[in-house]
Amino acid sequence: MIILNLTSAAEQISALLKTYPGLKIEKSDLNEVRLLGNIHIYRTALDFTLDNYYDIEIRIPIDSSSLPIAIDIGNAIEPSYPHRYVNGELCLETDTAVKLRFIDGFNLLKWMDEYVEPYYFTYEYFMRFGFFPFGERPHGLEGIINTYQEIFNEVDIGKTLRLMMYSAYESYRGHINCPCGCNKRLRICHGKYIFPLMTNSDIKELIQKDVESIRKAITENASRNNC
Amino acid sequence: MIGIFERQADILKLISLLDISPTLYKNANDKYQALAKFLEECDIEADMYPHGSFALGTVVRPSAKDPDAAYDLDFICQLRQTRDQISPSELRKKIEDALKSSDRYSGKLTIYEECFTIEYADINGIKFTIDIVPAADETSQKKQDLIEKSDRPDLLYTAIAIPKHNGNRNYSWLTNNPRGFHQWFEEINKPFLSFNREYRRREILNSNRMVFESVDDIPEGLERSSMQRVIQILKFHRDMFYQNLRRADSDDLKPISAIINTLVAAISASANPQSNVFELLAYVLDELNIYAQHQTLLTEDFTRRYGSRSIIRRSSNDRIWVIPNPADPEDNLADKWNKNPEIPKLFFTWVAVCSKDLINSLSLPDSQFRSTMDNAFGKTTMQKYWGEKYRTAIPTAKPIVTKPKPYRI
Repeated sequence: MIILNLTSAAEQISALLKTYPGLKIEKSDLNEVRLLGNIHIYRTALDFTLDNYYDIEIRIPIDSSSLPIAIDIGNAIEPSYPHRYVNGELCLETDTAVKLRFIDGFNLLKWMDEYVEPYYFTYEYFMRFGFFPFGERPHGLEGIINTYQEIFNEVDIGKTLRLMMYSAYESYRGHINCPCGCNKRLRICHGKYIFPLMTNSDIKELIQKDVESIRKAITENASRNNC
Repeated sequence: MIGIFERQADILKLISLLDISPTLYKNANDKYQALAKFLEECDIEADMYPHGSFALGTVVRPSAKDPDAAYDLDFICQLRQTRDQISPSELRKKIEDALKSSDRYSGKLTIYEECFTIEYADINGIKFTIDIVPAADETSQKKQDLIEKSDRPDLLYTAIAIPKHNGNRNYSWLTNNPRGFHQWFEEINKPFLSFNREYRRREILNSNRMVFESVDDIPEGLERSSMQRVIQILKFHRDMFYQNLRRADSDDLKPISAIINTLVAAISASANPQSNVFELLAYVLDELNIYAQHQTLLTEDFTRRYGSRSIIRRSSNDRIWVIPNPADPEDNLADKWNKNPEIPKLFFTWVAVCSKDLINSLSLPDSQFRSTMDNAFGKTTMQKYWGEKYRTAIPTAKPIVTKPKPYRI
């Protein structure tokens, strides 16, 4: 899937620059646009308001399946914070969660509104109170599985993996038994959660990639244990 | 940008509005004296006197979230008997029976395990309660034991014993010394109170022309030094901060007022008494931030780096936290810190947040300063007392609706 094509890129970046006047185009070519500058974040939740300015770089891949990334160039995020990469990139969410939003018609402004700004809010809240206001994903594959647990509204990891497999490689049939193994028809069990995923080829492709990553990790882990 | 001095003045004005008003002060005094008289009429020979924030002049509205919350004013009702002349249960019963027998008090009375509470009707929309803690004089032997252990023996002649609930309406005696603490606190506060006193008394008069005709009418108990204001600011900030932790056990985690009173007074003892409130606040917070190093440094390394600072101590062998009660050598105010390590961790997190909110924010642009104050003292309170001041033309902060969870590969 293509996150942002050339045609929509110009329009979305222009809207972004209008909303965040402190941002400027640093570099632009057919593959990527880089924005650099200062953004004002003024957001509130849970009786806490964030009203602050941050130096940021935003890299927007064009005609690519990669997601835009945000980099904390002002070093506002403490290196010890667990959700910042060494190069300053912000760990906003799992790719799966963000890509699902882009497939659903997301744009760069909404990406800033729903991920980048709340990321800084979460950081400042965590530094103040010592806990994540909206929770955090586990690291690695567990975080990806956790994303699907939310999508499928399912707490059991085994059931979640079976639902992922079904969604990735099968066609939706509501009358069959639900892949979760509960002996109910799919349509009255997890059907309402997986139907929208299975009818979109981009999402199917996304789930397939996640299933392959998990499979690969399990295989590697098994061979390590056999050594 | 509105200047730092105006900002400081606005915070002080806010705190003074959260303080007890002259009318309420007079009313509370009248009420507790009437109570003392009533108990005497019931043949209870006792002295009734304020303790806690009412005695120390550090009252602040108790609920950070509710600007209309009632003030809790604490009083000791001390029998003119020593604890070996009466049992703790008998003492409680004596006072309970007297209060229950009264048409005036029985309807307003709530009986708690540690005290009796009389709730007074709203006066000008402000509610208050009088909490009565029954007490007896401590025995001479116990006082002598304490004197031998203390480096301030002169404070210990006022030690008392109060009933401590052990479950199933079973009570034992617990030593306490509110008058000794008060004396220690007043000694440190005295030079702070003396500085600029006439100016401050005139300010009280100017704000309360309807209550006082001249400065001579202002009771000393309404004066507030820099040190008392620092305590009030920290107490109010503490209430908001710990409430925002959104935990059912936040009341158990937050530092009790006795810890704040002790730390602020003990640190202020080495400060310049001519400091204004914010200079003293910065000094106190800087010191507390130094004590935070006790979390990571070995005691020897702490001493090597920071000298003989000993207001908060940590023993070198078992890493026990100690905050000595200056008026009771057997009382470690940090007892709970040693049972739950989250308590000191949160305490020092809170101290760092105080520095950020109350000192660093003073040089931020107006809008950011106002947002910080909203975080520090609560939006409802700030809106009530400051209205739209410091808000710029920017619309209000946008709520976060989606709740993304940060993730790392």
